[in-house]
Amino acid sequence: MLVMGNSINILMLGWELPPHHSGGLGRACEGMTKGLSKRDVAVSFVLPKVFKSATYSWMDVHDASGYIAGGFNCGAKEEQECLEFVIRHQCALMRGYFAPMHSGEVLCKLCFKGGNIAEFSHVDLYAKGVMEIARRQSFQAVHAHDWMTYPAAILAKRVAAKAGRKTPFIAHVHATEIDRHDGSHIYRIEKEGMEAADRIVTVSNYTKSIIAKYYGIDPEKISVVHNGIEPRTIEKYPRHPLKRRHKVVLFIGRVTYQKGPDYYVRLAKKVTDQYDNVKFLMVGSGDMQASMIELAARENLTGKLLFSSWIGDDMMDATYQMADVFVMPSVSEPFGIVPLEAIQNGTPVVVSRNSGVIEVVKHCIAVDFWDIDKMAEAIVILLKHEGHARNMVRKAQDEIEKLTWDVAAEKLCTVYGDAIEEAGYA
Amino acid sequence: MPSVCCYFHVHQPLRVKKYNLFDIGSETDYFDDKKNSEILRKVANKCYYPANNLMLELIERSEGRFKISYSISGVFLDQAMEYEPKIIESFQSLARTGCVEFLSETYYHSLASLYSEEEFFEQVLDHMLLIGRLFEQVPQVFRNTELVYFDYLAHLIRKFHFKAVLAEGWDAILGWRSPNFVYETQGFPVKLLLKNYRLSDDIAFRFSNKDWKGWPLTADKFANWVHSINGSGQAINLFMDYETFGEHQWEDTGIFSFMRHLPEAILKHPDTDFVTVSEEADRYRSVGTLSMPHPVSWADTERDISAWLGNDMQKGALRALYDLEERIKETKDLDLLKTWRQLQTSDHFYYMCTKWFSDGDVHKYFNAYERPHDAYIYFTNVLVDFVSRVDDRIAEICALQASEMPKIDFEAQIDNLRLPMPGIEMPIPAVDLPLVGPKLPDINGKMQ
Repeated sequence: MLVMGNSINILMLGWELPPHHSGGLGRACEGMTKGLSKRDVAVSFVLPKVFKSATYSWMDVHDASGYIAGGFNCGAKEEQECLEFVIRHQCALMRGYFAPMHSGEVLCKLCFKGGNIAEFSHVDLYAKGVMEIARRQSFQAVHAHDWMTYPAAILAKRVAAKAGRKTPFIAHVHATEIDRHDGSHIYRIEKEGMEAADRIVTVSNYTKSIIAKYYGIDPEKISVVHNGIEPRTIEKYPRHPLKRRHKVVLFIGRVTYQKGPDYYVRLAKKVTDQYDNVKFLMVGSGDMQASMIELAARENLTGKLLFSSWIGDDMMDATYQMADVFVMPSVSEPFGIVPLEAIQNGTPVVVSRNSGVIEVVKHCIAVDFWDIDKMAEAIVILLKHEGHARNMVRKAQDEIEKLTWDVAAEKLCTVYGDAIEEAGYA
Repeated sequence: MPSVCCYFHVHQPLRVKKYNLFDIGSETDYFDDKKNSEILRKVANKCYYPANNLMLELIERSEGRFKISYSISGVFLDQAMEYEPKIIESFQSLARTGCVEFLSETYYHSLASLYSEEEFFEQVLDHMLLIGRLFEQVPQVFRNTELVYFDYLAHLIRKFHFKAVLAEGWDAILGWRSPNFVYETQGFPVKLLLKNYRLSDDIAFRFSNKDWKGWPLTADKFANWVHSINGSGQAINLFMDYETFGEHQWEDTGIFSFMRHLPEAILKHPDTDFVTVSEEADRYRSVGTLSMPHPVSWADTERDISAWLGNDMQKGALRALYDLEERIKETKDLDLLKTWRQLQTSDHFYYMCTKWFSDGDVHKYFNAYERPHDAYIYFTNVLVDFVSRVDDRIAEICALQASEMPKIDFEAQIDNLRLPMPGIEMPIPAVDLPLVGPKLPDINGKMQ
């Protein structure tokens, strides 16, 4: 085994990194690898497609598509197009993370040729690229984020084993099919990945319990590493004119089943029926956005519940600051980074009890997502008692100051060390 | 001997901007001026100028035997006056031929007839004054937005003493009866002129359709169809969008040369002639009464109002808009009133239509946004901003003395109107509504 000094050499498999990202996964990978780079861990990160516009100074980033071009039946150009398509056009692959295609958007020609299900052919393409990389270089461990990269990690481990290297596979679970509830075959890929993994890292105890319960994984094999959030100076935006007359309640997230947007609409109905100077905002795109807009109109919420499709990162802080209360009524949320961002912006949060974030932030109101009455009550209390809300968010801000990626990286290093050691004995 | 009545509708909506959350409170200009002016200029060059010139030529060449009727929305005229005043001049020279009649409609191409009698009345009057000012005619015949007609409409327009009102000659209403006769409305008697949608749509929709068995449509072929009705009808009403010429049917489809030869081909038969809408109403006696208890329009295969009121977004947005009426009129602020009325244009709601299955293609063609839901989002954002401006104004007014109140005025200058307005009972506008203090909601007040 090649151990140089005490530095660890990791092959990390991920699906996205900012600025080309669709949700929490990309940002978590960025924060995590930055934290690891300070701890003498050399990370080689493999993306399905690296765009020229993005630079990653703190680690090596490999482009899986670069290794596979030409190795398939179809032309290299076609593949390239396909992989670019995955990222840019939000192909069905990222179902869990991406909003689905709008009607009229073209389907990826490669995936839908021959009746293949898009997601699996992309995952396979990615895996072949990763195999090539694993053949050329040696690593002490493979760390893979979520199901799209598990098949690749299993193959990389096998390639290393053929070359006589014992490389443990660490599966990092940011979300599961149980949370997303798409009813697809992704569950099988996840379960196979988790079973093949030497160690599993979850983003919360909540997710750990899901994996133990629904995937039959031995809890001993699972370590919990909560996501971090880097402290940063927040630009203060001028008060939004809407707030002259109105209190504002905010939802930010993909508008999909997992995030509980339908509960949010019912919440808006409940609260605005009583208090006509409260405006609800729903920011984000997703497969349920259209039906939520229609539901809101049907419930007579025109002008009371306002919608916006996905907004850019540059407008995020302004949006958080616009709100008096942030609500995350997720049906199941493995971690939940958005409430933390809201807190950073000084907005008190009401979150679903089915979430990982409540394990690290005590100063928030946690309510069952289905309990509209309680959630409405929590919102009204926060709107009514501004002093109390301010206090709560200030204490929450203190809590998350300690929640850095450095802490997460430290825990990860322990997991790496354990895994490598165990692999050595095996 | 059947007469042929050509009626063209001229309209361009004021499209709403992509107005997002952060525009609320800071952007008071709701309409996409750039896009609206661009579209108006584009359509002017493709359609309005060449078509007007052609109509003028046809009238001159036929020595006045070719006649046309136009309804031009106030929203269109406003935009034309602002961006392309030559369009107005072009219509004025048509008006001077004496062979062109202008119809009455709601100024803002709105669905006010379905929501507010008072508002409807004011918009019709505003439009009438504008037509009088621009074209020196008092409209004698009414057409409601998108040809929406229902029995109660006859009551709504009774104060204007119109000779006739236009409607769709829809089979479900007519049954065995023919659209080629003049009918009378149910209840308050006004003549009903019905669109012959088969012949009209042959020109408006099917003209360039190569799969249609009538293709290619020539003036002689069409005239032949018209002549074949001889003896079994009074008048054939060809009602369509004016943009058919050069815009919906591009110039290269041959639509202009078709039209150039049509009057001659139709007039070949000595028994056939052209009439304007009021001439048709004057000349022919009604053959019976037609009742349409529910609104019938000329849109889509349903011929109902589902293109504007078919889903919850449309209903919600319209309801929210018309709920503001009392408060807007309370402000007595002409700018706010005008903006509110511009938001009533039916196209805003048409863009929210989700009936993609049967009429999706037509809707997509006319849609200014990517998704109907986006149209709803932008419209609602505008509405939220607008409501807060109205609330501001009401608060200001409350601070003012009642004596300093500005008086409400009509859109058009009545002084400029040199024509008598026979039979019109002047309405009581919203001038003398009692001033009520604003009911501004206050969460703290309520909660404590």
